[in-house]
Amino acid sequence: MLPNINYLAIMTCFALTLTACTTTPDNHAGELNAKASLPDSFNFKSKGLHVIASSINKRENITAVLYGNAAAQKFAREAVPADSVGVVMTLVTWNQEDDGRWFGARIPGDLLCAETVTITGKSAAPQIKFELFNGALLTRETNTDGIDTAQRIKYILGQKASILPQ
Amino acid sequence: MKTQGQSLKKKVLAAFAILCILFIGIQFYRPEIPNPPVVADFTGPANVKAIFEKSCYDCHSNKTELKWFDKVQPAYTLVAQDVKEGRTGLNFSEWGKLAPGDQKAKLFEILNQVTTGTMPLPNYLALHHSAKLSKEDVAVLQHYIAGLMVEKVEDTAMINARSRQQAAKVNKMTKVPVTVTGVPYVDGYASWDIISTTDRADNNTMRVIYGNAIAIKAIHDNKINPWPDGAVIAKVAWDKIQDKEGNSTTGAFKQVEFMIKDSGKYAGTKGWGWGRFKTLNREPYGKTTDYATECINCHRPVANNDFVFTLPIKQ
Repeated sequence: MLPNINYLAIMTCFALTLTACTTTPDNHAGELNAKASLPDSFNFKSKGLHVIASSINKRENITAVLYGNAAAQKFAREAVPADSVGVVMTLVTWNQEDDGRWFGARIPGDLLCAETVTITGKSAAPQIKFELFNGALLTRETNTDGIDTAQRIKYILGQKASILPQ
Repeated sequence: MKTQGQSLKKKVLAAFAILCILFIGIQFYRPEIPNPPVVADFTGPANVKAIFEKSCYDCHSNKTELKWFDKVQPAYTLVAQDVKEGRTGLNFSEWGKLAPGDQKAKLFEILNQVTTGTMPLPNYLALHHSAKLSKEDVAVLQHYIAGLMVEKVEDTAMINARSRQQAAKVNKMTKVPVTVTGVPYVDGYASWDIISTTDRADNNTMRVIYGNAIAIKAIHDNKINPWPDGAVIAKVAWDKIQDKEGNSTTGAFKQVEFMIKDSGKYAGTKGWGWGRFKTLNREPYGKTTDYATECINCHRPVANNDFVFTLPIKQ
């Protein structure tokens, strides 16, 4: 039995020597980006929207993704959109932060807000509805008095779809 | 008892003698570690080069300097393999053969490998203490490499490239492109949910990372290490076009990269099929099967996270 114990001891020492100098920094393996995640209460998946475009504002240190339904996808792909009725768009905005896993990259951090634009009615007289949801819980903002909604609607509807092979 | 004891002693001695003979015999097996001429050595700042020479050149250049204990078998065989693989992935003695963009990308990869403790290899460092990078060394590399990030504002070439793609005719896929290792292009990712986005200041690109239904379910179930078989991650990169006010939007489509999880089929490449398809023509990247090794090597800093960099956002 003795040789086996010696062997074990030697191998253990060897293994310890190998691992002693190799403390890997914590890279949050297996974790999700919790602070950037959308709250379950927002039920975003049920809306069935797909990504149209992404954007960054360096001065405000924010990044955003524009999602939309089929009508919105078509609207954002056309150079001069024919019809806006039926368009549903949601712009989700996050703070940006350094990516702990890649020096040189920045990723979404804290969830800031979601803005939706819904267009109904007839082509001649479309009804445009704007809604704002704020904070990590995306709480619906009932008072949008301080916001230039016309400017926000213009900004959201003005985004063009990212180019993809099709 | 005495006879039994003597018999055991004899057996131990015989085993020891056999081991000695094997040990001596194996010394005659000498795989070659040639040092070919240095054709285009790394040309960065002297302090940066000194760090690479100290910590990387043994395996990543044609100037391999072996210590006496590296030359003893069986270690020598492992060293020969490390040097061969090291030079294939990155050879500072052939640095000048890389395009400037590839040199820059390689420097960021090097830095990320160093800061995550992926390189130099831990088992190499255990015996070659002098190769360990100090905090000051890392700071020198960070300072130099951070300085290579040059932001492009209202870049005409990028704006024109976007216009050309917008004007291009629709390019329908008639046949599914595959990489040289047989990893297929996975159509339909544009209608998948997304996992995250990234802003890559190191190469002026913006990325959106999509996940198929299995990947999205894995995120919702919080079972992503390892990812389940059938999960597919698609990462799309575009030029990052920035205006004077600091607003960036996506420009020309550059490529889509896939990681396709199948722990059986892709067992040889860490359980993932790795594919990159460039331009709107979906051109497979990689002329030889070595390209998959390139993918894995770059993803090695996140080996403990099933080789996935993205920190997924639940939506």
